Amino acid sequence: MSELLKIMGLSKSFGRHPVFSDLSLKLDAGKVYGLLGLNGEGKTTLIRIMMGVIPACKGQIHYKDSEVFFRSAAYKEDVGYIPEDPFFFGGMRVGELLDFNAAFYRRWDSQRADELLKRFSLDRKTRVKTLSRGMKLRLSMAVALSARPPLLVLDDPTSGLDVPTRYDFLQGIIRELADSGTTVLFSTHLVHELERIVDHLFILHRGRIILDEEHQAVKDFTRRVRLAFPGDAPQTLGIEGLLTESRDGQRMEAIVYPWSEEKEKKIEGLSPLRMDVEPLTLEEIFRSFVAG
Amino acid sequence: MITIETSGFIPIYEQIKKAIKGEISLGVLKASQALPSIRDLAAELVVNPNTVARAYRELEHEGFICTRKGKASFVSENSISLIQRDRVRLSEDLFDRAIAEARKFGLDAAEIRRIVESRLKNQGKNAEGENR
Amino acid sequence: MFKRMLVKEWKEKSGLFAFAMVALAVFALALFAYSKDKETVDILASTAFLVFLPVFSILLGASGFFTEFQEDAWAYLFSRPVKKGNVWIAKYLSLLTVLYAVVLPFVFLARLHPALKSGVLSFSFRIVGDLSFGVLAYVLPLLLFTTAFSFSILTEKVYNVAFLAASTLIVLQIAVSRACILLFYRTWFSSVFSLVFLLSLLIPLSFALASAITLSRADFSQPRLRSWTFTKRSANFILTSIVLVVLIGFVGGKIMKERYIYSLRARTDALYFVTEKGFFKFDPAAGRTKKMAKSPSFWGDVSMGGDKLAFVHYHFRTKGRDFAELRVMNTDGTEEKVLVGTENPESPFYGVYFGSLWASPKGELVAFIDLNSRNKATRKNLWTIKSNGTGLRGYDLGIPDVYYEYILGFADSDRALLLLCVARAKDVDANGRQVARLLRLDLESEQVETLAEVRKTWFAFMPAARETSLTERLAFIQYNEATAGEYLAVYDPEAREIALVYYEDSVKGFRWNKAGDKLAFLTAGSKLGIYSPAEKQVVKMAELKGYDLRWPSQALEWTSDDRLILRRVEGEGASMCILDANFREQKALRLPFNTYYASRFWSAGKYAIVENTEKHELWGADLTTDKWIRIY
Repeated sequence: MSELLKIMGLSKSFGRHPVFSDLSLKLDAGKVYGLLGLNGEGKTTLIRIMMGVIPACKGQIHYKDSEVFFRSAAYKEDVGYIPEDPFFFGGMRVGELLDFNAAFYRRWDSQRADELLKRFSLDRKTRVKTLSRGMKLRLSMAVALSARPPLLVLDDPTSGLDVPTRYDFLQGIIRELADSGTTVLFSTHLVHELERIVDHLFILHRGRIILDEEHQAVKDFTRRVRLAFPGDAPQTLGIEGLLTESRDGQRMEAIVYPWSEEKEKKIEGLSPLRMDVEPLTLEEIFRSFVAG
Repeated sequence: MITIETSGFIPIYEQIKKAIKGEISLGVLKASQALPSIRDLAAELVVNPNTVARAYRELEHEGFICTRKGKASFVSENSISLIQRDRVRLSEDLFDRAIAEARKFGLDAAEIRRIVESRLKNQGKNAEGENR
Repeated sequence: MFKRMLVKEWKEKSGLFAFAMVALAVFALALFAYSKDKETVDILASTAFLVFLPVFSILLGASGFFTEFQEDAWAYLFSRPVKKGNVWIAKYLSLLTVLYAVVLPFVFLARLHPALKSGVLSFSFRIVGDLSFGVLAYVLPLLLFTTAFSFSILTEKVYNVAFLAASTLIVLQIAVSRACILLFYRTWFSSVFSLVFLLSLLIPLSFALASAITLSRADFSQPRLRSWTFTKRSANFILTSIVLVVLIGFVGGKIMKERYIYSLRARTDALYFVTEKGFFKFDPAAGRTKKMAKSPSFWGDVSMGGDKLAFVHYHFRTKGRDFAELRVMNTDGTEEKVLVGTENPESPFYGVYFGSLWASPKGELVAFIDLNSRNKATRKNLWTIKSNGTGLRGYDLGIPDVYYEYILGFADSDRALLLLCVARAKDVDANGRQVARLLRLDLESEQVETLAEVRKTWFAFMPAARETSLTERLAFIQYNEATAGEYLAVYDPEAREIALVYYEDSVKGFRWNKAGDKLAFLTAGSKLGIYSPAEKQVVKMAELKGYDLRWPSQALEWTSDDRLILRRVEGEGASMCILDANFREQKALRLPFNTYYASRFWSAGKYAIVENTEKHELWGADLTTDKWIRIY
């Protein structure tokens, strides 16, 4: 697995308001990465910094082992970017927008562009202004994919769209993945859709990456423990990795990551009447990670 | 048709494997029949192609499918016999889970056995009813 | 990428462009409808170039980044693989084409229209110095546009940007011009306006650089940071520009003192002249030029008499007034002495502006005229002072409403002064000829005698002739109203009478020879004549062919040995031709430089001397060897 993108020690503040500090993450080629986080906590800022739209206050970004600066433009030829609310210069037609972008990307494949237009039922002559949101999304996809980028960065592109459109979009991404082995960074808060395709998860919370793990590993090692005690439940279970913990008289419930046999034994050692250990959906996992 | 439950606790690739094995055992997928390409299956299921690829890889490793010419995957010749072997194991897993659940309700071994027998009888009547 | 940007920008600004085209059409129609009415045409042109185009330039620039502010389009643009600096440049250049696509048709129209050709195209107006039409039409829109475009990254509110850009530019421009004038008018005055112009170009450039750098380095999503970065960088660049220009001004002023040569006075034995470096003497016998004294800021005239040199020295002060002094020194540069100062508020000469300056033939007396006499009580505006500083004496000529007067020279050694006095401004006729009185003032008795009333053109009295003539005769041109002719007249101070020397044709220029006993003159019909005052008649007359007589009053000169020097144009250069007493060309020496301009000749000793007025050089030809040397 070759390293495609590496972010080291990234910090950003808007004036005196810090967004994140000392943030590091790594993207390997060919995988699908999910960037989860609550709204307004810096996902879009992080992605904008990656795309060189705004500068970081501190830190470095490396693409394929060479450092990428705020002024660097060449590496962006390798990145397809689909932002949340794609903007197109008003008054342009579909064809004009494609041609405008074609001028920027060396690897632009106009044949691919035509194919994609056809697949998405987009006509070159249509004015961009008149497209529905779903069609605009397809258009941004067409633009991003026609450049044949090794890396795709999606910043919550499907929020506000209906389910069929979202599924359509995912399908498009999947086809691209299958055809070209593209690396994808998918930032979203629609967790359960991400569940279908994500390989590796990042959770960004309160300015730090609090989870950086393979999807399956997270699923395998996060457990909800439901306990009933003969008397009052203890104050705390006293184990590490308690994401959430709640008491209600004799009952207790906790979500633990990472779960292990030792921890199981330790809890058993507290002599509960009943102990149920269950796995969680990704949605629940995410919620418990950001609860604290 | 394979349906994938993402919020379920079974990994997607396991679900795919099970589904394919199910189709082989039911005879929907016959020996030497071509499986859908990774790309197509992934798109159809709306899952990560890597996941499909992993499922196929493991199925191949287990002997249920083989990949020829590096592209297409086919159901292997001895898949049926493998299914037979697996069938038992899979059922054992099923029963393990059911027994564990029943025990949570506080049933003991004897009660569980009684339930299994009565349910078998019930289902058998229905099956015969259908056959008539 | 640039092509795409160009197309995109044109599309976005098509509305503005269409509006400009409508204005152009209106302008064109109005021009041709009112083409006979000069005033209306002038107003139209002024409106177009002073109002419409500047406003258009500012609005075009201010709307530069307007679309990029809509719905965060800038973020989209920046996420493309393109250097942000290149985005700025591409946009700027694209909009520049829009700007000139509007400016050029206006200029073209203006040049077409015949009424505008002479009127507006030679138009110049004063904000700082004189700005030609070219600057107004081509450069002003560029400067305004560039500034407004640079400011347009700050906000999407176009009109705010326009207002901010325009007011900043105006304030800076005024401040900068004032500062330059204050700083440099003493050290390097002639380039004050060049320096201001340079700074006027550097200021928008500073804004442009600051704008591009802010775009490519600052966090564009934070408006306050944007503004702060832009302001900081602009201030930096502007300060640097100011420092640079000030340095150029001071250093240039020191090194590159503009060359000039003036007040050349030729005597038989030497040529004296003043340059920016000082007071020089060329010795023809040795063939060498020597600096006699450092340049003490000569201003106005210099007069030589005997071995004395009288001149005006200006003091430039940082505090208080500038003031002048009348000084005298020996022609070898020694014994410099102040005769009259204008610094002291108590002195009657406080604030005096020295006019006409004359040293007596032996250098014992200096006469001068006070051009803005504050001493209205006495009405004395003519003064004499001995060259040892004593014996200051003032004279009231008794002529009411004097327009101006100047000294023609001394008569009777130093006992009398000849003056030309023009009274009353309404005596100037349509051709610039004035009624002038030739006066003789007896310095002892203070009696004023009117010798003649003449109508003359300004050059008609030749101080040079007066100075070198041993017999102190005065030659001048008299205008005859009846025949509308300009005739040559000579005043004989001994006989105290004026003789009309030549009146068959208008005389355009004349020269006394070194001895003062022959007067050469040029007529309107290209004839050359020699008059002998001793014989009281014209002794030789001939028509000249092939000589450069463009500047008749300066076209001829005598050599020290009574030969004549004339110029002939040859190709890109000219030749100095030496003619003998029979007007036969003895030789023609090609001038060692090529210039379109004619200049007069001088002679000293065996040298004939000519000035290259373009480069301010002085060249002399040794007439015995025909070799040129560079005197200065």
